[in-house]
Amino acid sequence: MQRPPQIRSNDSALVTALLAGESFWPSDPATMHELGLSEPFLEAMICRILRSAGNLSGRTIASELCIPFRMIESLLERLKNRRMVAHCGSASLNDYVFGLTDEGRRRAEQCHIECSYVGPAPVPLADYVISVEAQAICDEPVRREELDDAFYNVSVSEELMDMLGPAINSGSGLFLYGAPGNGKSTLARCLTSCFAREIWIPYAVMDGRELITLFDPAYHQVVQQPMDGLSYDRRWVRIRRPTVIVGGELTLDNLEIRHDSTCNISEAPLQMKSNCGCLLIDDFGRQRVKPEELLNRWIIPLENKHDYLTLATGKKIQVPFQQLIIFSTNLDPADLVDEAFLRRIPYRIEIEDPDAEEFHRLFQIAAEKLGCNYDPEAVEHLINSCYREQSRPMRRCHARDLLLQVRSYCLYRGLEFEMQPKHFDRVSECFFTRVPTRQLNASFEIARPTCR
Amino acid sequence: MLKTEIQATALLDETVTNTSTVAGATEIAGYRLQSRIGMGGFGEVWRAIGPGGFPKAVKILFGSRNGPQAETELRSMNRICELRHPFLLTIERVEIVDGRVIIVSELADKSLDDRYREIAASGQKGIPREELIGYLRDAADALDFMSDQHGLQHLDVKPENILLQGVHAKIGDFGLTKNLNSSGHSIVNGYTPLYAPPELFDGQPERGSDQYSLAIVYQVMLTGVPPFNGRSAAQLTAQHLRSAPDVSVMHPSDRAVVARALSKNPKTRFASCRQFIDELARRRSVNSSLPKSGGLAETEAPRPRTDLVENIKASKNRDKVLPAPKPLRPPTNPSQPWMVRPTVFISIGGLGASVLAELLRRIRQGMPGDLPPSIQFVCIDADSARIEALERRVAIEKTSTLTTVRTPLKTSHEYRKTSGEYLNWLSRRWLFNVPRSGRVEGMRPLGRLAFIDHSDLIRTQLEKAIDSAFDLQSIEASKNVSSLPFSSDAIDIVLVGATSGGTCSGSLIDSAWMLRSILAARRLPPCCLSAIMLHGTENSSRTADMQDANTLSFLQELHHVSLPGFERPGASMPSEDDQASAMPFDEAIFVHLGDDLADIDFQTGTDKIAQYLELRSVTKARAEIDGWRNASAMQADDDGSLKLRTFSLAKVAFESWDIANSESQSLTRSLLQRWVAYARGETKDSIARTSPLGVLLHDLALTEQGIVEVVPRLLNAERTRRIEEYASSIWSRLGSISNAAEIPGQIGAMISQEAGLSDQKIAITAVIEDIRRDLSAGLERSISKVATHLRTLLETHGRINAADNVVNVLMKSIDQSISVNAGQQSELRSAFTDLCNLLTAQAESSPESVDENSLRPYCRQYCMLLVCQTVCQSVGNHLRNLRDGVFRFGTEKLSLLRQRISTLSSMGSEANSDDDTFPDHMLDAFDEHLTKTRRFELSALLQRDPQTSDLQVLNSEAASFLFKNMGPESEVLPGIGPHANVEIPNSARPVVRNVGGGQRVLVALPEQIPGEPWKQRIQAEFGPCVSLCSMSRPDITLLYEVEGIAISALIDNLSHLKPKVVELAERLHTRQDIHW
Repeated sequence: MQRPPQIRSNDSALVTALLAGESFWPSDPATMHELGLSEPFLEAMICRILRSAGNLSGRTIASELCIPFRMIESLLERLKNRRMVAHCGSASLNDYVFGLTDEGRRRAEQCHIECSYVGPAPVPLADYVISVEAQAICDEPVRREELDDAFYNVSVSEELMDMLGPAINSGSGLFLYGAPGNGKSTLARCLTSCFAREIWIPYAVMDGRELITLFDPAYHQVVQQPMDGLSYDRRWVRIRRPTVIVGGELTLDNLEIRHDSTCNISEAPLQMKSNCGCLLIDDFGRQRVKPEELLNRWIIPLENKHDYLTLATGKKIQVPFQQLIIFSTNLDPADLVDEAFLRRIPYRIEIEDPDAEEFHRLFQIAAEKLGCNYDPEAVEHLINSCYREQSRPMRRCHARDLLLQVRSYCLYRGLEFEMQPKHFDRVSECFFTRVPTRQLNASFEIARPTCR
Repeated sequence: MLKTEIQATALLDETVTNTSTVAGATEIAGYRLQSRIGMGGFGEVWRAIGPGGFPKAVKILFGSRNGPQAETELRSMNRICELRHPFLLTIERVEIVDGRVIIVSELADKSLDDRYREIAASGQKGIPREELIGYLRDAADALDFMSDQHGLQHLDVKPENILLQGVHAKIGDFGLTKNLNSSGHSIVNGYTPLYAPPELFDGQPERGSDQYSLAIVYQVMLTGVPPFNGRSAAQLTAQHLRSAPDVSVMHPSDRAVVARALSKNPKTRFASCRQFIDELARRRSVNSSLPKSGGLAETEAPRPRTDLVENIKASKNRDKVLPAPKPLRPPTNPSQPWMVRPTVFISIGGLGASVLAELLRRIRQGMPGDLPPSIQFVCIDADSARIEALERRVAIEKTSTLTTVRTPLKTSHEYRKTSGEYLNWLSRRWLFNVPRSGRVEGMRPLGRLAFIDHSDLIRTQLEKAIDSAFDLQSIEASKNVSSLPFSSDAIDIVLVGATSGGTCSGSLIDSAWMLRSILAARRLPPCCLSAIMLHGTENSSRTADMQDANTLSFLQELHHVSLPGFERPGASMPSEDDQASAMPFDEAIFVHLGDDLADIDFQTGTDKIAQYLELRSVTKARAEIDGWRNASAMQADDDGSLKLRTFSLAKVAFESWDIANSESQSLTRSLLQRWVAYARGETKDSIARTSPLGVLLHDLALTEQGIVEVVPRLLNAERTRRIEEYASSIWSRLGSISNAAEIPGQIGAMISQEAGLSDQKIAITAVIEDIRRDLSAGLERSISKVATHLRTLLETHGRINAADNVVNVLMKSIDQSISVNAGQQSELRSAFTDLCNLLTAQAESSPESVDENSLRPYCRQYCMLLVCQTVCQSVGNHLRNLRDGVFRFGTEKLSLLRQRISTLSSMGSEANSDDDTFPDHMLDAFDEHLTKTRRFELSALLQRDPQTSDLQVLNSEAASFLFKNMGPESEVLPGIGPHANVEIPNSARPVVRNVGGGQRVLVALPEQIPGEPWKQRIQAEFGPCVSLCSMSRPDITLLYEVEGIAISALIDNLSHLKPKVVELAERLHTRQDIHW
């Protein structure tokens, strides 16, 4: 009797996830073919794990490798038949504890010299490419409401919002410029969050025999993995959409695959780590590299949406370049690069200093966050005494920073944390240095934000 | 039985449509009915104008006053009539009119359910909380009053029974009300599963029972999402008994309160309904007084990206109860000869393929030889494994008419290379997550991807199939192999598939367009493109949601593309043409197979579809169904959107037929045995003259009178004249009479002398010869007359015994005749002697007196007597011969027949020996039936040995006899089957009912069954929309079709109270370049 059409259970997790709005789901591999890795490679990984960790049960090896146990089982059996590993005891659930034999140890040393990577198994580069394209940041256009959501706890003016939206949707580069301390970095972070917040990335990627580690805890914040019985490929990890911020320390080397010749492991460049997210190059123009050179590096990726990287073997690989790249600077873009370069980055948005009204609002928000009352008069006093009288520009970060100082001061003096003019007077002395803040805006005569 | 489905509006029952009265026309108990307000499982409610012109609500119960429903209602009326409370709907009268119970009560503005629909239609998700709590507070007061003061529980609290008047609510419909203090808590089934408290399923309602229902009413009316998501009564029952309610759609402050009222244990609920409502009200006041300043805290609550409410599209139909389909009178067009058109059946996806496999099997069953090449089958499926299973099932090598097309998905890597051509209509989400299995896995966009991806292949195969179906040679060949009347004026294309599955749902509309463009390019004769869209959900809730969503999404798309003015964006398919504005289908049939189905149910469902396709394609019923199509085409709607049909098919009294079949053998056997048995002592002596036997006896001249008249009849005038001539010639030759005493001797000598001359025939011997010849011819005639008579008799009621009797009577009569004849002979002899003696005496006494004149008559008389004597002897011989002949027939032939019948009956009796005994009157009736139909002739067995085919004929006759007598007018078989009251099976009505439109019913009857009583019976059930069609197959098939269903009505039906499904359906649209 023929079965009626129905959704088979094996890919039910995929179906459920896609219907729940996921844009990508790493299906649990069912066969070696779906795994995309060769058996010798996996054997070598098993040997290395046993070499570094001593004796382990089959299931532990599988979970270290992030590969289903049923696939490891036959491999272990084969290794045992070839006297590479031996049973060193039994483990629960019809499993054994495996250890390396002398022969196996020699083999493991050899593998270690070839490549010393121990950790979750890599996924084929092609799978990674698919995943990036599926989770690309420009998949679905961002609408105003989503932007509102993303900026719900930041004070952003309407005009600015209306400029940011199209810039994000264009998927090309974006210049943010303006005085320091006005929240350029914060803005960049918020921008990332207006897309679906979580994505899947593999721990490591493999092309041929070249292994490239991708997951970097410094940039990738792991979120809760799916719990509710949905199966997935454990070689992938669910992270918050990355926002990679680099400052003056950026060199061109950071943008190429970094190969460690002693352990034969390559590490993915920054722009690969920030794929599907946002790459913020902060303090653009302060790098040791010339701005032109740095910008040149982005021209091809920005146009083609993919980047070419050179492996240690000399092979060039193509990886997707799906991210929002933001150059943030407190220098005038015109000073940094000439117009030919600026043409490549069509969106240039100035972040202006806040006006008094917004400054009040910022204090209000900061007060709420820090748990203190909001006193408009005190703020007014501050604005008069510290800004208007000294013609000092207001910065968005000042509200929070000043209040933090007030709080520290109050704590120190054992006073109640309150917004009072006298507290402001006290802290402003050390907050505002005698060194005059550079009058940055002097060079921009166009007061209105511009968007060409 | 539970009150059908959870959809409150699905409770319609067609029985009402025709039994109920027409609005405005009728008065019931002085109330003039105006319009029907609602219907339920128990009855219908009308708005009526009462005496004095006051509007009232009149509830008319189904069934008679003695029925269980009416009894329950009357019993609860007794309980409720003493109750006085402002928030209880006042019952004003309870009447019994024409055997039906009528309940008159005050008229409310609307029900809570109506209010909810109004709100939902305006785009909000539910009744505003304050307003709802106001109503429910009134309801709670009333329920508490019933419970506290009178110990009553209402037990049918649901939005339809909470009636609104102004700003207040009243509880109505006390059909289930139960006194908890009375002993024996058994309650009558009839509650609504969605709202029923768990203890009710045990038949043990308690004090908190109504509170439970009230809590569900609260959640549903507030949010549109029921706390239990089961779709069938069984699922809901299980959930009420065991699952935790899903209260997550409500505000967090409400959740705990509702959850407590929904406790499985009645003791842990609130003490009273009022307490429950008060608690809810209190929570809100706490809620609203929360400081709004913590703006951040407020926003922490997850903000849904898509508002559910927005998705439940407001629809015009929401605010009115859609009627059950109207019965449409069958068209009265002159019956044209029915023609089979060349047909291409195309299935998409697995369920469709099952249908085709079954259809193929059925068609093949009817045709022993090759299949007609003008009926082509094409199965398209993305799942190769399923196609292979299909090929195995139908043994593909035997049919050249089946084409299978595999359209597996490629991997995401492969699509990525050419992603540009897909991404303009397909979301990345689908393209980059193609399941590794290559199967569609129920995702509609992937179904379309598989279709588009293989569209060249599919197109080629479809073109091939259409060409080979509509090829004049193959039409000729089809006529030959199938003996069906094929026509070449038009072509049929039927698409079959499950819209609940991804493969079909995603590509059905596109395939229709592809077919249209193929047809346009071929310049073929007019074509009817039909789509059979199946929908059914499995018993796992996740897949069920998905299946619902698939269908919903499909219907939304179908609605969209069938709107006038729709233009397809972009040429995503090769070779598009100007057909873009055409409707995808000429005829769209949507069939809901049901919810919560197991594999076997799907199988049953697909079998029915196959049966339907067979019925409407290659059987006589086709003419009738085509007639329907023409009739409805004439009265087409002018709003331009596509109207759907749905149908259901049932075999009426199928069990009866089964019983008939199984009983038929033993009936045959019993009858055969009865035929063989000897009936004792029943020889009838007196036979009426007019009876056939009397006529026969008269013909054979075996009556006393007859036998006497035989001789004079034989000696007719001519013969007498010849004898007289001869006598006178003898006289003249005698010359002179020497001695009168010698005369006799001389005459005798003369005659014998002349007779001895063989070569010279004398007249007298010639006459005697003549008479003998007459007699022997008469013997043959008589024997054949007797045989014919006996044969006829064998086909009448008495059968062999009657023949036996007749033989006996004949023998007796012949014996009598022989004795009469012997008497005659002796009389003649003595007359002859007397004559001789007389003459001698006369001569002796007075010789002179013997002269010429006296001797001449003497001579003549002598001759006459001589001839008479001879004739009489001949007649005696003839009678004896006849007796022998009859005896031979009676003993030899009849006993041989008995033997043969015994053989025949023993042929079948191997199966089982335990014979059911049938009452005599039944055997009589069956015998009668056989004599009437004359399909089996007993006399045939006189000539030849019995064969198994004889037994088969008898059995089938027995079956059809039994079956026929189970029909509406059965008198014969009180013991077997539902006869007087034919149960129309539930499956005769489609799952989707309350969607308006018109209904038609076709009853296909076996030829041997009289149609009229069935027609009447079924008309009583369905109204005057029944057509009949007789077919040469042994079952009664009932086809119920509803036409003119608006897609939007179906969409409403599917999405009602299922926000999750609506949301899923949004995601499952095939194309993102059309704003559905």
